Amino acid sequence: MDGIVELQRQLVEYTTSLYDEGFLDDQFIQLQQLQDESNPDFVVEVVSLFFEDSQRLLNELANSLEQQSLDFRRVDAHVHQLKGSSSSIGAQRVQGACIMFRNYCEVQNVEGCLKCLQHVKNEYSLVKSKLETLFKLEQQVLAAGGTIPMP
Amino acid sequence: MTKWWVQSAAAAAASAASAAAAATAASVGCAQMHGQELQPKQKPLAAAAAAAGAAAAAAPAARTGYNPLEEFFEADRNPDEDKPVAYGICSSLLFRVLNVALDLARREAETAVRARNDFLAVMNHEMGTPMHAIIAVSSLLQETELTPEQRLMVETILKSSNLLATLINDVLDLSRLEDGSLQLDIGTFNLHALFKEGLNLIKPIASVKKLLITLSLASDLPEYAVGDEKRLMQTLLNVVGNAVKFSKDGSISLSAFVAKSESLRDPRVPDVFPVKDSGSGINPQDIPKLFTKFAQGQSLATKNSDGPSWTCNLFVNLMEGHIRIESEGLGKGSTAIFVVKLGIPERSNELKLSFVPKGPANHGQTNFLGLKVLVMDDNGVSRSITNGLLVHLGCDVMTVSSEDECLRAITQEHQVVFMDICISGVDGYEIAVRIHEMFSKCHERPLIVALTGNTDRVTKEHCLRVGMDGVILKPVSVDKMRIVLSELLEHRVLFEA
Repeated sequence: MDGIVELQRQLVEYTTSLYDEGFLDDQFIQLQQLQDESNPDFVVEVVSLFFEDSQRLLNELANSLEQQSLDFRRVDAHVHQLKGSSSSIGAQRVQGACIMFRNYCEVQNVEGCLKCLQHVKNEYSLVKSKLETLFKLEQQVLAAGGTIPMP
Repeated sequence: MTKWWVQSAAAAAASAASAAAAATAASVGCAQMHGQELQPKQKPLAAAAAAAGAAAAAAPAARTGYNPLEEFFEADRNPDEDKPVAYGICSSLLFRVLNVALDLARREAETAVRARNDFLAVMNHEMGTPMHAIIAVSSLLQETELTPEQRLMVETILKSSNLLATLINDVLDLSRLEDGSLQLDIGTFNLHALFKEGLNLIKPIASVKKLLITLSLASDLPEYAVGDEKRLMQTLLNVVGNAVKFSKDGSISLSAFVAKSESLRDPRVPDVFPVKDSGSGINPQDIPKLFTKFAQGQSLATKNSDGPSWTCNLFVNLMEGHIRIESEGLGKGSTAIFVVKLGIPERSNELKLSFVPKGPANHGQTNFLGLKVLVMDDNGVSRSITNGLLVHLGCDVMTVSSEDECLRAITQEHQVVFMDICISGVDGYEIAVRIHEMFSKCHERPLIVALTGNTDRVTKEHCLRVGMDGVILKPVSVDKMRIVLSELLEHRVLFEA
């Protein structure tokens, strides 16, 4: 019994830190609310989709920015997509980085864009590993027979 | 009976004649332009306008050559038409012959009415298409560098084309008015913007005549109203157009305000639009005749050119209002006043979400079980979230990722279409227009709701203009979507404040 409580406490603490540090926002809570008996893996599914989508977009962005003749509209379109998906799952810091990126696209500043791409990549890997840790903790609680505390 | 419809056929022919005259004027203007010293950019525009003008002038001539009503006209040239076909000997055989003849006449009349309506619809389309080309191309021409003389010519072309457009629409409405099938196209629209646009349309013509036009909107005039925007604009243009027509100099003032008297009892408020002009004035004795359809002893041609068109009168009546003209006599100008009843968009539809209590999410409540919904979003992540949200509320959801897919998938069984309009590269607005076209009858059409990252005025107005039923700010929580759906289904419209 103690083990479950301890695991649950760890989970709650970890989750709270993610919100406090701005990695996640309210939108993630909304996502969790959509998970129910008829859709038990909703959050994991959507987040996995987000991982795939983002990886693809980041690769595209790296490619586009390496081109000799830079097409800023294309770059902006990709960033816009990434901003959309990150905001829908509540990945707040990634979303913020995308907004900055778009500003540089608008003024067609190549240096700025390259720096932003790096920034977005960093934020993305951070939130990815955080979410993976979160899911692992949740699995541990479930495996021990406990339930996941709702925020 | 036959007299009535001979007259309406004659009206169609008369309208066709004046349409032809206007088209010829436009075409002449275009030809004049073409002969001018034009810059390379302008030449193809002028040539296109001239060709379209010639086509427009030819269309009515071609059409009036073919007159499906000719036979019936022939029959009616018999001066004895009002009298029974045979008189003198009455026998049962003769009565039977009479009945057959009457029956035939009735069937011929019905066929002819249908033929007339088809004829009018086709004429409307055939004349409308080249005419729109003239208007579009002339507007483009106006944007190029022109000498004052050339500018005047282009303005003439535009003026004639706009009047022609009104005429064409009137002719088509004629047939629908007479079989009583004309219905108002009710929707929410921006009343202030309608007046400003009307003013802008009339300004070029007024400035050609050196008339000053002013517009004043009362401070209590609501910004948004519910009514038939297109026909209100038509009526407005007609009334103001007449003021311009009959004023040689001076000024025209257009004002709009809310009539006070009945407004307290009636939720739909009458709006009054007086148009004062300083024109030649009208002999007070002539005023009552201006609105009746066919006054005795006056030919139809002068009828249409004298006062506000009688179709406008009918529109105003449909909007539960009336038109009247006051004048202090010849030389003292006149005031045309038209009153219409418009609705006010219900305030409860402006969703004040700050008042929603933030309670724990109620997972069990699903009163939208089976509600058929279509979601259009080209972002995979956001699409699956919106999907999950609606499924969670019990809806039967279909998702599509592009405009084309959306148009292919949408059916009248879908009650709501959610479209994400902050998708870059996809114009969510255009598709709303297409959906309207696909579903001509309002109660069968799915409600169209935009999901957007910003609800500023410009976005909202654009959404209104293309006929969306609602605008929702993203991100959408479960509770918010629940409220949104119930508001939408109850009021059929929802614009987030």
